[in-house]
Amino acid sequence: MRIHIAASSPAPKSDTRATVGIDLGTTNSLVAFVGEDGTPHVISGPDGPLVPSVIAFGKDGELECVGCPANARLCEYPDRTIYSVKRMMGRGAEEVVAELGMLPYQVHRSAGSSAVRIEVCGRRFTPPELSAFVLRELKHRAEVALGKPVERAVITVPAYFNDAQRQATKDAGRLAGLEVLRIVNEPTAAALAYGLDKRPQGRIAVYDFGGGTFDVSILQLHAGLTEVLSTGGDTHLGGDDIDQLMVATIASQLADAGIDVRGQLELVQRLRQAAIALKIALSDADKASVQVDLRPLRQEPLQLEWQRADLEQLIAPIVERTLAPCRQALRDAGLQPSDIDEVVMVGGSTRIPLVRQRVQDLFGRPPHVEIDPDQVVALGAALQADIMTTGRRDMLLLDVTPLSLGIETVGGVVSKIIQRNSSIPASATEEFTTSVDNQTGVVLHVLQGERELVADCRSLARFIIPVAPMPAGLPRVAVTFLIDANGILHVTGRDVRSGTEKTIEVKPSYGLCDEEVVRMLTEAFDHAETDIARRQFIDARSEAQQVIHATEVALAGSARALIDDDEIDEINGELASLRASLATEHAEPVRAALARLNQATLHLAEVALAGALNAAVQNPAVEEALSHGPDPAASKPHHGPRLS
Amino acid sequence: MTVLHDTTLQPGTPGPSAPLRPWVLDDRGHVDLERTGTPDHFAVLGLPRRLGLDTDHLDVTFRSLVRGLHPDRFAVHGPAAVARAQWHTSLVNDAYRTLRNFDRRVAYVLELAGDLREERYQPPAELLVHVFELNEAIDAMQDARDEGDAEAAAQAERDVREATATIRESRAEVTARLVAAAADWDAAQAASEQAGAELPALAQARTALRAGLGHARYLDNLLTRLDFSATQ
Amino acid sequence: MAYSDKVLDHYNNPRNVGSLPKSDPTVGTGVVGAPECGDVMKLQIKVNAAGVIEDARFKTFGCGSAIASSSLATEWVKGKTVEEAANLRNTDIVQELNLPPIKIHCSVLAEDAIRAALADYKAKQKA
Repeated sequence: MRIHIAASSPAPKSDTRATVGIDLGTTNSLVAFVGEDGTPHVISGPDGPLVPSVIAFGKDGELECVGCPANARLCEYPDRTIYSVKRMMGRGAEEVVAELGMLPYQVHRSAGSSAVRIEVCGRRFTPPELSAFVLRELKHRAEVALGKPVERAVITVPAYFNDAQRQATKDAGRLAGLEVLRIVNEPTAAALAYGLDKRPQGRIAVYDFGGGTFDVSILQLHAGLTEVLSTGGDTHLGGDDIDQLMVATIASQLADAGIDVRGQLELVQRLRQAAIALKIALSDADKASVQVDLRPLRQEPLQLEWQRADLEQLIAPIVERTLAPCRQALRDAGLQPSDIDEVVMVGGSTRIPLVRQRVQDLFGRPPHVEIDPDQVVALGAALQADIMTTGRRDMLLLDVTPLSLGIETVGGVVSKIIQRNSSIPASATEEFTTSVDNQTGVVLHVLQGERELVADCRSLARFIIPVAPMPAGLPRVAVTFLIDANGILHVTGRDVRSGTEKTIEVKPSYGLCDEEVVRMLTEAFDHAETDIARRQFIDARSEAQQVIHATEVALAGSARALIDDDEIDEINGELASLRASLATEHAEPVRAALARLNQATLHLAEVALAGALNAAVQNPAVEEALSHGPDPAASKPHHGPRLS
Repeated sequence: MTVLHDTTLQPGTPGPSAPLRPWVLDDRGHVDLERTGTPDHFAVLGLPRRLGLDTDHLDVTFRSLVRGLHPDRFAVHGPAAVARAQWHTSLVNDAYRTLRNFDRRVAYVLELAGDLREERYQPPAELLVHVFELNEAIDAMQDARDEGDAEAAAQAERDVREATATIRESRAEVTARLVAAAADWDAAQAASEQAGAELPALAQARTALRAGLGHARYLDNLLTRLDFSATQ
Repeated sequence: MAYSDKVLDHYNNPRNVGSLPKSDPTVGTGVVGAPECGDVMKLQIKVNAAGVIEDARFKTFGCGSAIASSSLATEWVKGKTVEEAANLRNTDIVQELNLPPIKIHCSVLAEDAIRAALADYKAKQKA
């Protein structure tokens, strides 16, 4: 049934592609979207808004599930259920082992680079591939909720993420079939969500204590312009550390009682979940208790009872560690704590009363806790997506680079070319030459960090700048380093003498090179069939919903009186069958039911259209709608499956 | 080759039509470095080359430029438009960051003049000894804290606090000297521009600026360390 | 781009850190600074009756390259005569430590410190 009448409320022409905001978290991830009303909403699934960033594989190494169902399998199959992928993004194998400690799965170095590979049941995955599974789940969730394909996203990262970690996040988006419009820093996104940008001006501190990372940012607002003044943090500090500390404490108490849980992966997981339950309960209560099944080591369960004071004493050093970066960020911004007008809390760990208290002590004012700290970042990301795609908000985020960029010079010393806390995009151009005759290339090593020696900084990439063979010192190559608005480095070279552009082959130290991403995308075609099927279903459902709505409107209108009851029964039957077909989540039954309903409503459509034409004489809006003919968007064939 | 001239900025309109400052762009829309050299920070922001500038005006100029040029405004216009916006915004950001801060602005003007040996600043011996002794006092304070000697630490902290006050006073004096030298430089620069050649007064002003900046750097390093040790 | 272990060693384990009695007539003290970065360096030498530098100490508040440069300089002057020590050039330090262009002023600082210490020692002898 195709009745397109501009009745009382013409449906706004919506974009066929939605852009969402994604908070890709260490523990949980969320997807949010800005609706037609301009307000952001987190998109919920059957298990609520949070998608645990957990990926479960089957015995054969095939993906089984992501999110809540995967989380439920953590204890049962610890060796093939992956969590905390975010802490592995853009990092080396040694670092991952050193940071995450004993992992239930194997960690490898990938050939030709230091990047980490996770082995699950004989298959090896890079962290971006694993994160892409979570992103695909979020994308799917958004597509189901919005009824249209989602191809673009704004994804958030901790402000303190380095180039490799940001690039890895962008790669993950690409692998999940998303065009990443922007990588936004989590604290900045949170400030957007609080709507503090509506303040004519002011200074804001965002304290973001999440599952795996700690971030602080100092922002300055000026009429829609949100300028980050400084940022600081610790990528190795989060709620996970609190959990680990609690588990270690419990484990050592058990060891004193002669129960050794080391090496008992499943048991350690149970202890971890018990610790998390205690931690959460103690945010509201002064004491809490939980039972842990200790089998097979002990038959009777362990009864844990903690006071809030116990927890606070244990974690006080961790909370203190978050305050030093706050002071540093203030210093970098040239401000005193009293210069801050608002303090915003982000991340699940800010639910802990001790954390709120210490932050209040530092800034001398109670922090904002009105928005759910788990959702605030995703909401901000959705707003940023809206800013970038609709143009309806006169707002702009100006972020900074958290780390200085440098190049290795002779002697293993780093020469800084872009200072940390510089507004991004930021660029620097350096000129290079050769040191021996007929040298055909200049090797450049780019690093990120604040220390003076190469060994103490983060290696980002090595480049070879090709030069024509000439006497030493004669070639002149200008290399421009640009840190883009996402905090990601781009390098371009130019021969100063000839003015020609140089192609520079970039070999990231801890990331995927372009070829690898392309190869992974090709591999992803293995799964393409299911993706196509899903896309087709979403399109069909979207159309079905429109038709159901239009039919119901027609049935409720004056046309109803001109149709006999048998016809109405038939239409109602087809309506029910179309609704039922949606539950199959397959396109074909929906298309078939849709065709039957269209057939059954031919008469109704005619009658309704005739009525509408009569009404149009009195209604110029309708006249105009009709003079343009049917909405082409509705009658055109459904856009075919697309892979991006 | 296109030379784009400044037009009125219209914030809030994303699109490739956003105006650009008078930089020389090549046919592909890149800034032509061969023509413009590394764009001069003053030129990027459309300002005359002067040390005395109205920071409020600078802020307004920066904000309006960045609103028009920022890559987020071009997100839906394809990768080429975004890449161009990245590059343009980076120039505006770099210029603003450098010129917004007085000391950095002075350092930039000196950098434009090049490293001139005859204008080099040699810090006076008393200053160096003073700075050295204060650094040792901070070390002593930290040692006393590390060893848990509360009494010695308290004494050292008092000494350091007193010294900090003195250093802050000296820093204020140096700033006043720098401001005066900056005014001299501006006058000499204006006169040189009019004469079409560098006047001797310009080199004199630069020497004074180099001295002020060199002196300030010692005091600033010390103050950073003092501030840091105070919060530990 | 490997850098020599020697450089790293001077960065990580600087030699001869400390001070000598300033009022000792056989000790020469030099305090110098690099206006480029605001580093300060104190270098002291102790000269025996034969005019040979038998000990040297330094303390530097500054970057790693300045510390490495002064560490190397004290190593070099030990056992040299006052005249020999005066011939030390910053370029020797640059070569030995492979200092990059932006850190050359650190080696200049070390050379200046030795000159200042020698001058102080000579002034004390005349007095």
